[in-house]
Amino acid sequence: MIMNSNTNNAVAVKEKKLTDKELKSVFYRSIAYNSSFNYERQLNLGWAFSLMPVLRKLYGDDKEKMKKALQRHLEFNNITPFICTVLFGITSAMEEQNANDENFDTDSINAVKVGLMGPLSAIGDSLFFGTIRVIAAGLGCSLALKGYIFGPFLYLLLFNIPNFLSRYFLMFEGYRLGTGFLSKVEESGIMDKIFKGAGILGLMVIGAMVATNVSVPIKVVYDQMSLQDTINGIVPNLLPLCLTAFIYRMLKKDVKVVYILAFIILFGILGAAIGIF
Amino acid sequence: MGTAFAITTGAGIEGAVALSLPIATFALLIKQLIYTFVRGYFVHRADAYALKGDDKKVAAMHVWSTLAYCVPMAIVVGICFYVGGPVVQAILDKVPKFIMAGLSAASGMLPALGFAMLIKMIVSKELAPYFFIGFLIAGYLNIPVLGIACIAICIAILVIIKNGKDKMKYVGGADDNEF
Repeated sequence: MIMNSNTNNAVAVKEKKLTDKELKSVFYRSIAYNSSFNYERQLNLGWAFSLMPVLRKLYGDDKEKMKKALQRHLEFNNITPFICTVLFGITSAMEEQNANDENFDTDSINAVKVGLMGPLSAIGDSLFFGTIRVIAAGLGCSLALKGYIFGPFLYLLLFNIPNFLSRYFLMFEGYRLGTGFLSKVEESGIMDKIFKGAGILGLMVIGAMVATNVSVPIKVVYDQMSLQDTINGIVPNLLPLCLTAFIYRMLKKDVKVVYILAFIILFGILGAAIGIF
Repeated sequence: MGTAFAITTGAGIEGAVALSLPIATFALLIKQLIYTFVRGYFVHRADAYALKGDDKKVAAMHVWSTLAYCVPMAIVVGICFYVGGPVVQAILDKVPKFIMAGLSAASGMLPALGFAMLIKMIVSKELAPYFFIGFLIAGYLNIPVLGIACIAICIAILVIIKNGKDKMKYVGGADDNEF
């Protein structure tokens, strides 16, 4: 399907195509996706690690593109691990397109990734943590309470069979979804609009996540009024917004990320020492 | 930890939990430190390798970062179990309170760095208002992220349709200090 895009360009570059081998490899690697959580960019290392077979296949012979791809996939990342492969599949399809199409807007890869991360995680969390885990634990516990040693194993089986099935099939479904979508988009020439749409989706979701996932837990009390409540009374979550805006400014001024990181930690500890936090 | 104490001391569930609680607190402190500093360090090593285009080293950082938590944690918990809960409690009392509170405050603020980096990647003058729309809906209406994503999809579709009629061309990457 992707062949269409390149026949127009009439450039005789060899088409790069991902095969089941790479996709399967990403699936295996995705099992370790959430093992290196860090506070700064959460699951970014696991993401880059898992996607590596795809990147190697597509950019293995092009150092410059590889550099760009590695940087792009070390950005903030977090999606419910049990369904993470659907995003790996879609991203793989976009990367494949990018490797074959010179005019592809690489920013759109991260825009789509970010845009889908939040919504997909919301679905994944409610399905796996909220539903399957509860059922599995309920059945496992009831058996264990009756003295069957099989109880805990039943729990693990009931949770992990759906987990691995969903990871495996979503990998290929995601990829198929991505390629089908991209080729359609390419044909009708509305790629620019899709990028814009993904940007809107991504930014709105980030805006919501700044409000819900960032906390500046000041506990200053003034005249028996909590300062936090007063500020939230003006605009809810104003402090997280200010903090994010401040960090954004620093990033724009090319302040190194390490310094910003150190600043936040020192700010936290000093703040706690003088009783702000 | 509770399970191990329940088996070795035969203290029952409540007793075992009480014994293991200081260890859990101590382990949490270590976890915070590793997640912030040690793993942060590996993230930045990975950034440096990405700049050089070294894919093998970037992947290796993930493995090291994983081990950097699992191995020390296994050792710490093993030692804690050996010396017992009360000893750990005594050590814990010596750690200044503000360090614990500060680290927990910092871990609440750190995601802002990740989000700011994402914003820097996507934002343009034209798109900046959408960030604030998302932020304001989340704050004022308490709609969960999934709901906001659905609204965002609708808005994106509306904007795309409108732009199709106007035959406007989207020019990306024209971001300025509009934030």
